[in-house]
Parts: sequence; C-alpha cells; structure tokens
Amino acid sequence: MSAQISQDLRASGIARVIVILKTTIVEKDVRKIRSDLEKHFVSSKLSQATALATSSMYKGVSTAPAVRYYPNLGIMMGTVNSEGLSALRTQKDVVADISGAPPISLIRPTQARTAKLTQKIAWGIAALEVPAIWEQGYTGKGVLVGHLDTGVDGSHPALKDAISDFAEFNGMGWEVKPSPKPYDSDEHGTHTAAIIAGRAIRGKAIGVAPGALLASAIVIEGGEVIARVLGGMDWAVGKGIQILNMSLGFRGWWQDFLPLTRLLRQRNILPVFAVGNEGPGTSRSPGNYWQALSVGACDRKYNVADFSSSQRFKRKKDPIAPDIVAPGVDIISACPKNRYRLMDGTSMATPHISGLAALLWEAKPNATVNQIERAIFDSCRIEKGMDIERAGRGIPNAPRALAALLKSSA
Amino acid sequence: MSKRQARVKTDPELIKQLDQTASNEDLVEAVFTLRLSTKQLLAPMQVEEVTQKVLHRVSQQVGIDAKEVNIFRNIGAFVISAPPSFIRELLSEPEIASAIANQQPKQIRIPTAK
Repeated sequence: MSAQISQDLRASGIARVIVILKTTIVEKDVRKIRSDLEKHFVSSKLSQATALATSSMYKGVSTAPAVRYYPNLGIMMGTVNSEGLSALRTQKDVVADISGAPPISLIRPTQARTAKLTQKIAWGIAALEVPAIWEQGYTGKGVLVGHLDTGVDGSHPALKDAISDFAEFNGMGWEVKPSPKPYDSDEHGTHTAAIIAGRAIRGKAIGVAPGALLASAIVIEGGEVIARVLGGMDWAVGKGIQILNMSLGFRGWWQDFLPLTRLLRQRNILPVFAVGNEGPGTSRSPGNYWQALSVGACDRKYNVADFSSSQRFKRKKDPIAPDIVAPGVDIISACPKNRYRLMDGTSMATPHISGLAALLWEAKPNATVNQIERAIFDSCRIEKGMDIERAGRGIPNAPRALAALLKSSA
Repeated sequence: MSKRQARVKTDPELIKQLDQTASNEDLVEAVFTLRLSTKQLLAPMQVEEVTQKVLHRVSQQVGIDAKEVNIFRNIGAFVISAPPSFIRELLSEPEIASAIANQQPKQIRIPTAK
C-alpha cells in the first residue's frame, strides 16, 4: 500500500485514491465496470459521519459517492475507507493499480477580480466586529506578525508602513543577500499581508490590525522546498514574532512539521495556519495539527464556503480541522502595483485571525499563546446553518475575545 | 533499518530519494529536526553545538563530509546536502527526531479558490 494511503487511513479513516483501469477494457464494458467499482467508494462527508458514529446528523446528506472518472486517462479518482480499498484490490480483472491521489494538487485557475475600495470597512473586518476593539484603542501596535508567503509589495500604500522586516530564502534556506526591497513574486502574499496589517487607505479599512508590523518572507515561490519555509520560519522567530501566519500547507496528513509547530508554541508563538481549499473530507498539514490554530473560510452569510477544507481525525484532542472559520469569500485586499482585488480562500480567512490575535496581544502583552488562542475559541459562535464538522467552533468575535482574554488575566 | 533508525520519523519521500541515489557521488538534500525536550528549549547556540557535534560524529563514521549545512538555530532544525551514506547514518543518531526530503513533489501553496 502506498505510504500516502496508509498515512491517510490511519489519520482519518479515509484516503483519496486513483484507480488505474486495465487498458484491455473495451469501451462497451466501461459503464458497467465503473458502476461496479463506484460502490466501493465513499462520500468524503459520509465517511466523517461514520467516524462520528452519529449518522442521524447526516440524514440530509447525499449518499452518492464522489468518484470522478477520467475517460482519456482510464482512471477513477475518489475517496475510500479500508473496506472499500480491500474490495477494489480484489478486482484484479479490471483494476491495474491503485495509488494515492497525486500529492501535487493542480493549481486551480485563479480568478481574482480587480476591485475598488468602496466600503469604509471591509466586510470581513465588520463580521468579526473588529471596529469595536479599534474604538478601545487597540490596533495591534507593538505586535510583530510573521508572514511566510510569496512576499509582499512594500510599495503598496496600504503596506509601506507595515513591514518591519523582509527576506527571501533560497533552496537551502539561506537568506538571499543583499536583501531585496519587499516585493511579491506573485500577488497572494500582498493580499494576505494587507488583511493582517494593511493600513486604511482614504479612510477605507482592509487590515484587521492596522497598527501591527510584519516580518514577511518569500518562501513559496520557485519550487516546493522545505528548507525555504524553515529558513523563513527560523528567521521570523529570530525577529521576535508573536504570531506566525502561514496560508500554505501540504495536502493530507503530513506529520513532519509537527515538531516545529510544537516548538512555536513552546516559544509562545501562535501558529495560525490555513486548513486548505479542497472541500469536505480534506485538510492540509500543518493546519490540521491540533497544535495549530487552523482556519477555514465562510462567506458573508456565515455559510462555510464549499471549497473550505474540513476533516475529522482519530484523536481525542481537537479532532476537527479547522478549529474555527473566518471571512474568506469576496475578500478585498491589496495587490501589487497599487491595486485591490477580491479573492476567495482559506488563505484569506487565516490572516483575519492573525490580525485578531495581534489586537489581543496588544491588549495583554504578557498573555500566553494558550490564553490568546483560548480567548479566540471562547468568542466563537456557531451561526445558523453552520455545520460543526465544517466550521469547528464557528466564527470568532473580537469584542468577546477581548473580554475573554481580559477576564483570563484577572 | 536498525532499531535506532526506527525511532526517527522519516519522510517516505526522503527514503525514496535515498533509494534512488545509489552513488555517493550524488547528493541528497534533507531537513532534520533535533530531538528537543518538551520542558526546556535549546538556546540557539545549543542547537548549533548539538548539530555540529552530530555532524562531526557522522563524518567520522562514514569518512565523508556533508557538502552544505544550514542550521536553523531558532527552531531546532538543519538542512544538509550530503551523499546518501551520510544521510542514512545521520538517521540513526539519537539526537535526530525527524527527517524530511528538502525537495518535495508536493505543492505547499494553497491555490486561491477564486
């Protein structure tokens, strides 16, 4: 069995697999063979319900297994549990091979839309009721947030005063010298950075913590190289960050960032990680560790976004990823070249929470990472229509989180 | 795999890369995390010292050096570029907690949903 399938089955009871059909199958038999094989797949959402053993919660859920057939490739891709996998293995007449779903997920077309700043306060900030905390004088001032992404456009008016430190790392994790001026190798990093700490432009607010500073590094451009991310992480920790925002992660369960995530907490740094954009029954590491504060995405009606990943794990502590959800649909933020764009994703939801944590840490500078996290969790509410399997604890609320934190310090 | 090796959480991708690199002429890049105490954090200088000590020990055992080393002092980890025999030996050292292939086929960036 592939290592990826084993890992996924152990972690969540289900695994994404590719079933390669034998090339000797003739066209007229394909429909029946597909129909026979589909029985062995499970719906990713139902498999969560099975794990929960609370099937009554899922009466309305379709039982149709989510299997996709790729006729030009002669493969089927879907989710199986152990029994389904065993059954598929017995179909030796028609199945040539079974492998883990490709570790490299396709980059879906980015349809970020150019936008103009029209709202006085971006909807995501309003949804968290952040302005109520601003009115008390908290803007994240004095808090340094680590931001590991595609970089940040330091010339953008919303960000030029928000960047404390900037670095770029090569494939062996060495800082590129001389240090470049803050730039974005893409536009993702500028967008997420401005959600955390973007300054208001002409009175229009896009950043949750407009007084916070960023230690931002380019770590995910030009190949998937672990040392690049670790180089950035090491550098950011050395700069004295209190929060680490990473809108990145490996698809599935990947335990290798676990010791580092633990270490961040030991250093009193809050790891705020995106859970992924692959929908129910999926998640990304390190966002799916219980040691991380993982964030899914919701829209302005508080519905969990269809794309937002969620997964239940076989562990007692914090079995559901994400921990919470935050605004992640139609999020306006900065883009390079002095532009603004609307983007969707858990990458956009995550910096809302990093910004909120910055506000809280300004309010209580000697708070522990556990106190900050607990205050955010305690402020969460499951809104009408939210499924806890998809939303975790629900959506946080800034004034409630501040009150919870100040109470905990009493 | 020895009993000592079995304690190290090793990324399957690194095993694959080691298996595919038969010759010591070729190099493999790997990231290692140190086995840290859950109660007491190592200071950056201690991370440096522990790492150098382990690498020196492995160099003596296999008779070759790592080609390149970068120590991440603040997070208790390091990356090396070294021949496969060096990395295999490093996997058996007690100070090592986990090992990951530096070059990953997986995509770490989360695609934007829209």
